[in-house]
Amino acid sequence: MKEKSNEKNSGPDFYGITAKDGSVFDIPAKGSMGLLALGYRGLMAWREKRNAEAMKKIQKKSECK
Amino acid sequence: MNRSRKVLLIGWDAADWKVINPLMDQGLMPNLSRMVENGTIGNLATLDPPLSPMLWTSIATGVRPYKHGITGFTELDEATKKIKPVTLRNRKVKAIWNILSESGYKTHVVGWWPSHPAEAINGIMVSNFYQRAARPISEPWLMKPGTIYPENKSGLFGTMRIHPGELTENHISAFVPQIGKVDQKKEKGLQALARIIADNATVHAAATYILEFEKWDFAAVYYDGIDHFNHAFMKFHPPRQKHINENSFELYKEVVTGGYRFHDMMLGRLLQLAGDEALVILISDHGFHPDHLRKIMLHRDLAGPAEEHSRYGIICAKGPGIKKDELIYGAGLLDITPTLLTVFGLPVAEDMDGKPLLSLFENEPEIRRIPSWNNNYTRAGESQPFGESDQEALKQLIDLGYIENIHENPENAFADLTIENKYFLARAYMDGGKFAEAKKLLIELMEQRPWEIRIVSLLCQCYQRMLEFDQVKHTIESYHDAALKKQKQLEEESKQKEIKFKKSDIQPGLNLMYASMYIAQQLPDKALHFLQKVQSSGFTGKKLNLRIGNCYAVKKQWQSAMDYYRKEIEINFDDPEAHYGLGFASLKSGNAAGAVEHFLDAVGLQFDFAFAHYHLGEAFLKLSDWQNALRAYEVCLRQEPGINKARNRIALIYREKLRQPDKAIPYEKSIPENLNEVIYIVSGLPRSGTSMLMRMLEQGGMELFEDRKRSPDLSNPHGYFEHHAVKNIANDSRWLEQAVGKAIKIVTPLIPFLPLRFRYKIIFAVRDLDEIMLSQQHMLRHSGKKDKLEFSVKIRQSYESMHQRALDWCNRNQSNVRFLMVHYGDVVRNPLNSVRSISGFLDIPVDPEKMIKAIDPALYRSKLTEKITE
Repeated sequence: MKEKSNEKNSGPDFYGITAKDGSVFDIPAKGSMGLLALGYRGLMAWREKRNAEAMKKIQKKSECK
Repeated sequence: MNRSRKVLLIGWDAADWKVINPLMDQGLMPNLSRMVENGTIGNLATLDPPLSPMLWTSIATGVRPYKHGITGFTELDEATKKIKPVTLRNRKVKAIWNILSESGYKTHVVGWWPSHPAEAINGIMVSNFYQRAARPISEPWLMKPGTIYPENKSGLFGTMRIHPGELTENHISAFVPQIGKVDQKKEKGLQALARIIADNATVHAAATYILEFEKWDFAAVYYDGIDHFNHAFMKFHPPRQKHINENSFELYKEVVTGGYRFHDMMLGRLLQLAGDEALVILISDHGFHPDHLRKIMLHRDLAGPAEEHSRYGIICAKGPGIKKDELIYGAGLLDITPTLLTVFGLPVAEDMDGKPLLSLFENEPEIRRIPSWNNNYTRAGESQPFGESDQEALKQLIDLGYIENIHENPENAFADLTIENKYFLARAYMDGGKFAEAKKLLIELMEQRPWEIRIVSLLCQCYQRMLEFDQVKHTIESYHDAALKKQKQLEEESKQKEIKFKKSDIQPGLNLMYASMYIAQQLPDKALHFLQKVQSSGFTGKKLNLRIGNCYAVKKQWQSAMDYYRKEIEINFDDPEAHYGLGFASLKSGNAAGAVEHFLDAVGLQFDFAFAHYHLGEAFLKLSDWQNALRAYEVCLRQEPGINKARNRIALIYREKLRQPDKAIPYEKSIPENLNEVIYIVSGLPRSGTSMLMRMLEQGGMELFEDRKRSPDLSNPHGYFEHHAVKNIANDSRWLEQAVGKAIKIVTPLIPFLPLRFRYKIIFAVRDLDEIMLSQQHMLRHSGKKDKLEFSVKIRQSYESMHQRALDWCNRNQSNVRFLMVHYGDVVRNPLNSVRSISGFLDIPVDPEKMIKAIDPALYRSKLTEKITE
């Protein structure tokens, strides 16, 4: 995970993680040790992704119904 | 104030280079590897007992536990008889974060153990009650009051906590790749693992938030993960131990490595956020045996888990002004706070027990000093009422193996823990050389638990250090009776309850204590007698062969010494002391080449071993290998700059062997003047037998430095052998030059005033303190100054501490001072043995027969059979 870097100038409400080359890091919904090791940023990004995935599932289910 | 400084202090509980080095070699800890390459590293010596709350408080305060007041995992409230997990309530001195806050630095602390309730500092403090989830994920996770300072940040930090129930297979499989094979109904390992990961990720989230979004000059963050991974999973770490089930080994063998890798990843993020301009110091409070020294069974007392800890933690520092790719020697936990104060340009307090680690820096910083930072400081935290969460936290300490299951009866539980905390405090006193204080506590404990060998053996060690050998004997005998009585009682109880009872053999413990006493009295034959008894009982632990080898080495029976060192090595190959002993005995018996091999083995196992490097140099010197000898002496001096013998040798090699006198000069200049000249001293308390020893030396052929101004009298009919100049040695020691090569009588209280420009061989006359007091009373009565015998407890205590101060001084100045203790009663009863040990110690020709003739047994008059009036 060391090659990834977050946007230093963004505030605590921005959880996106970008690589040094500017590409956006694909956050796994099930999380990873790398995300935990990133600390606050990694945790928030993972939870955001996890919640979004959960919402998608709920949405899908309700659409099926 | 040094406003430009930013310092990040990172604590990894129980991190050990023995695990880290192979992982770095395999490229598995790249962030620490980079830090090592760009900084200075070394061992960080721990304190005893190695209990984390004590140690981390010593790190944060620079003082020993008996000064800071945190003495265990728990805290006892005398008024309510409640037991709580340790908090800041009992901390009696300021921590580094208090001092820095007061000095205007923006200071943050996360997770330090103990740090609850969070203190009001110039920044954010997240207490160690923050990370632990006590309830299932489905239930509310409340924050205990006092967890966050300032309290208005509680909501924000609450969102950063990670519950173990949030973790997924992705997290756990990084530690247990075969996660699918774990039967989670039977195996509780994964739950423990998830909790450790969640706790440490929570601390890390808070720390990274602060470093990224808050202003900071100083930040301290503590991770307990490595310690917890170790206690739970080190038994599964490769290579597999015989008693470990193969399936469990396969499942959990990667956990410890995974734990270190996780910490390395977190370190990478911390370093990134700290930036290159910050000084980063990574430390651990102790190590953890990862090898064959792993314990299979632990004692059932509260310090049991600490038996898995090893003596050295780690230190690694990098940043502006820190030496790169360097090693530091002689660093200890107590040095961290003085070092941090120096970095910030603040004065180090004289009441701190540590020192600034100056060798970390490219340019040595200036050290300022003040008497104390603690004027008007009472204690750290306000007492918090005992609540449900305390009970939960206590349960977690039990689950983690830090403390034994607490007695169901609250009164018994309170009494048990009171004893444990006093026992820890006594050990801390002993570790700090405060034997009189430790003795007081241990006597109290022995009154309550006279059958407990751990208490008795510590008490005996205190008596030994205070030269009260009769008390050692008495204590061992009392233990013997009490232990037999206890065994009987347990046997009866087992019969009634119809439980099997296994009698334990108390004899080896008794014999080891007797042996230890005789070793302290420098009576190797008597010590050997008891050690051989232990050996014949089939007992092999407690470095028995090493102890026997040491006895033979004192007797200069090198072959026997070598045989026992080899036996110790067969059992415990990684014992550096056994390799060192083998090297020393080989060197003394003329096998320098063999000695080199053994010394190399010793320093290979424990590089921080100055005397092994010194004797390695001696062995190379014997082999005329000047360059390697120089290297060995240099390492020795880097580790222990006080070993002037090494400086002397380097100068000798440059001047006489390599014909490079210019290189010898700096070493010669740094050797204290007259260091090669020895003064022989007879010391002791008045009436301990010093005059008798002086007379023996005189009769044996030694020249005395005395003025015969004090005439013989009824108390000393053969004379006093004193010199009037001695009394004023504290103010004027110039006359000592006239005493070189001669024997001089100096009473014990004046020993610490000896200047270190000479070498001294001191013979301490040892006599039971009560006999000394009695003899002094007789003397006063003979001189007409008193008409009856009196016994003052205060004078007795003061004599004890004088003895202790003199011995401490000798131990601190081992490069200049050698000492021998001679028991007055033994000299009278067994003169031949005593004269042998004295002549061996002096290492100059003396006539033993004449020395024996100088002993007048009729003068051994004041014995303890006499009545003493109170």
